[in-house]
Amino acid sequence: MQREELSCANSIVSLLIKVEVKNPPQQLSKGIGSQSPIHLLFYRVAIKLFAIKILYISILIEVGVFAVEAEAKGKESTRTTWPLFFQGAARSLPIAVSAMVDGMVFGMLAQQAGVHLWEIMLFSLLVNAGSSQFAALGFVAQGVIGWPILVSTFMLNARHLLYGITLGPSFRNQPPWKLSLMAAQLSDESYAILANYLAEGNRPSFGYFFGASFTDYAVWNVATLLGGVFGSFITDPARYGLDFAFTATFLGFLASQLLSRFYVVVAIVSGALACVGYWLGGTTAAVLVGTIAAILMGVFSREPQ
Amino acid sequence: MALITYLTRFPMLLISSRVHLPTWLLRGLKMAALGVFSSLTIPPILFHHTKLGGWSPEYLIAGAVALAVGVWRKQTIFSLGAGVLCLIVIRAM
Repeated sequence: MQREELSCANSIVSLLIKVEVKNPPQQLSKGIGSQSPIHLLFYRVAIKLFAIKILYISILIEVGVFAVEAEAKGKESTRTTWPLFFQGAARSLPIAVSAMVDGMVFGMLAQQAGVHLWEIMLFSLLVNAGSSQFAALGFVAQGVIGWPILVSTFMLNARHLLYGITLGPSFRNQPPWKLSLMAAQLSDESYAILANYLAEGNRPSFGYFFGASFTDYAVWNVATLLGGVFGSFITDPARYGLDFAFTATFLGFLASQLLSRFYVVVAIVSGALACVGYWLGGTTAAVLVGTIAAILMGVFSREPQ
Repeated sequence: MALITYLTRFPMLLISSRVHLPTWLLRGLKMAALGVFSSLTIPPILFHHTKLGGWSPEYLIAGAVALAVGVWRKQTIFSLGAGVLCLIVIRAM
């Protein structure tokens, strides 16, 4: 299925692009009426990223729901309860600060790269995954458009598979439309909050989850808007070190994944192999090589999980 | 385009709802995000050239700081701030 998807994207890409975009971000026109094909591509890419993400998470929530034995953990109410909603919202506010800044940075960087505001917003509204958006932006800024972004997102969202499969059993009795809505709202932050909530022994609650995730979603999009609107006021991003913002953010994500010595080893090895890939084929090859290496190391590891 | 994607979803859903993901695959997928993050960060740091040409260790230093802060505090906002601040300081020197 994925190969069809990718070749479909590829043919569309080659149809839409006549001129390869090779300019560094600062030189791309922030144009009034510029007809760069990058704009056409951006929202189509966003829609595809969204579709991929929903696909991923829906599959895994479904798998988790149907494939795991039903333990009677107590039937949760199928009606959303408002007190729990606000509880979840309150719980996600500290994390929302981080989302605020990252969202603004994303909005700013996208604006600097010459993406129109409505496209930036569409991206954030539909995709709602910080790391994937930054990765796509990094690609776009380097002039790489189309299927490398999809592949990278594919790899990056692989962890959403685990989120879905973990959360699925807890939401067995929910109608599918609620589950797909949940899938759209799922992100690293909302997953972490919900997992902690369940681990504390509370009954699964959609209200809580939506409270937390909607807050995160709202903050992320508002921040993106602000960044996009005010981004044009910063004329020299290098002076503020913003050219490093993307890498710095991802180093933060990387740091949060270093849970044991094994993870550090995997990071070093996949980083080293990614450098080789980068040297040979740029960012795309780097991500492919590094991620496959990491997955293989995970598959063959003897670590107790 | 989105329609095609939508339509290809459901067969997958039907099939996958009966399928267990094998344990070894789950183990591998746990590492996927880590692989992506290090592939996206480490090469740009090691291959960084300034506008004037030539390799510069500025990303390396700022990157090490960002990573250390990220390990110390789990929120990405701190890594972002620390890394960017560090780079500003280095460039001002």
